[in-house]
Amino acid sequence: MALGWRGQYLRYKEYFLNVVVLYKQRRDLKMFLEVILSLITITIFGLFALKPTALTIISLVKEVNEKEKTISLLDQKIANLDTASSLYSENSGVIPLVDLAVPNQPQPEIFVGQIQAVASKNAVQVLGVSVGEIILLGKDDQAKKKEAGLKPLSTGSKEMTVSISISGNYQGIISTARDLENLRRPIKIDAFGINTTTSESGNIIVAIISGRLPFIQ
Amino acid sequence: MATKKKLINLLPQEEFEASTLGRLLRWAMTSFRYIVIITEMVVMGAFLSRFWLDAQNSDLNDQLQIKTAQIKAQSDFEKSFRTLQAKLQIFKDLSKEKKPSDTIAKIVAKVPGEVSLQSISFQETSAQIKGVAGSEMGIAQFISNLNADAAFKDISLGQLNSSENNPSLTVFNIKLLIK
Repeated sequence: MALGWRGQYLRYKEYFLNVVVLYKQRRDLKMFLEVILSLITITIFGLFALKPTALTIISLVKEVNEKEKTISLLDQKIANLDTASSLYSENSGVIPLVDLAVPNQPQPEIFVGQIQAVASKNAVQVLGVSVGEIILLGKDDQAKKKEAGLKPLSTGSKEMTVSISISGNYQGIISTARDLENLRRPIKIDAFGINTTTSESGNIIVAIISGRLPFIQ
Repeated sequence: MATKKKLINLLPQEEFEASTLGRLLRWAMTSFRYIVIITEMVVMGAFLSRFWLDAQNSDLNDQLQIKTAQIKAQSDFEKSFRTLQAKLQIFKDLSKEKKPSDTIAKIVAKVPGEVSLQSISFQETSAQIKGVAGSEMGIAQFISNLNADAAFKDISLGQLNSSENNPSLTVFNIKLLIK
């Protein structure tokens, strides 16, 4: 007895020969010959001629459609750039003010100068100004800020922390705080404390303002 | 009445047509021919449409190159405009923030005559007030005044002691949340 593929071969050869014999014997089966051949031909042509052609055409049409979409997006971007350019030209006079408000560098020296000017205007004494650590390159330590319970100022902005200590009368302190809030360079005041101490010379009011100033690089 | 039985035989009568070779030849001349013609038409149609599609594709490539170059030429301006937009957004966000000086001024405006404040500390959403009062009525009045303002909520009196320097005065500590 044949084993393995030989056995299978013999078995299927027998079936195939029987089919041929059956086909030869029965005349009605011959009627389906055309149908079978047609189906085989259609399948072969479909697989080897029509399918690759259709696939090529479909991929080309897809490519063209995608490029048309990209071009329309580029057109829109060009139009937007034109609008931006005309807006920029129209407002070119005030753009330096925006750069002053949110500078590209922390510029603590300018801010300290502004504090002194505000304090002198409101007749209060600046006891001290301290500027915190500034990240000049790289990302801000968000974890540290979270620990301190501080929300980030705005997306994409860096910040300079400052703490200002002033002394004077109540009206002067409030006016100084107001002026600081309304400076061209915006400040986010995180904490503001006013404390009164009594000494031999009378009441001394000291205020401590802690805040953050944005800058963008 | 005897009926005549009609016999219908669809199988071809001629010997060659009935043979396998005859059938094959007949199929090759009819169905196979049509299948080949239709397939060729489709393939030719696709072949011809490729010319048109390729030309269109090439035009689009040229347009893409031109427009990309246009945008690249303005990349510096785009960068500075985006930075400007970011700066304006930062300014806008900060302008919306609460101003502590207003809150402190509001608190101070509600202090009755017999109460004087020793310290006020303000944080983003809360404030703490420490003061001295000649009587408890003054403190109650102060709390009532604060309660009347919609800007403050959850006002709590945390501490109430006699002053160490002057026992006739009462030291108090108020905590409140800012809306």
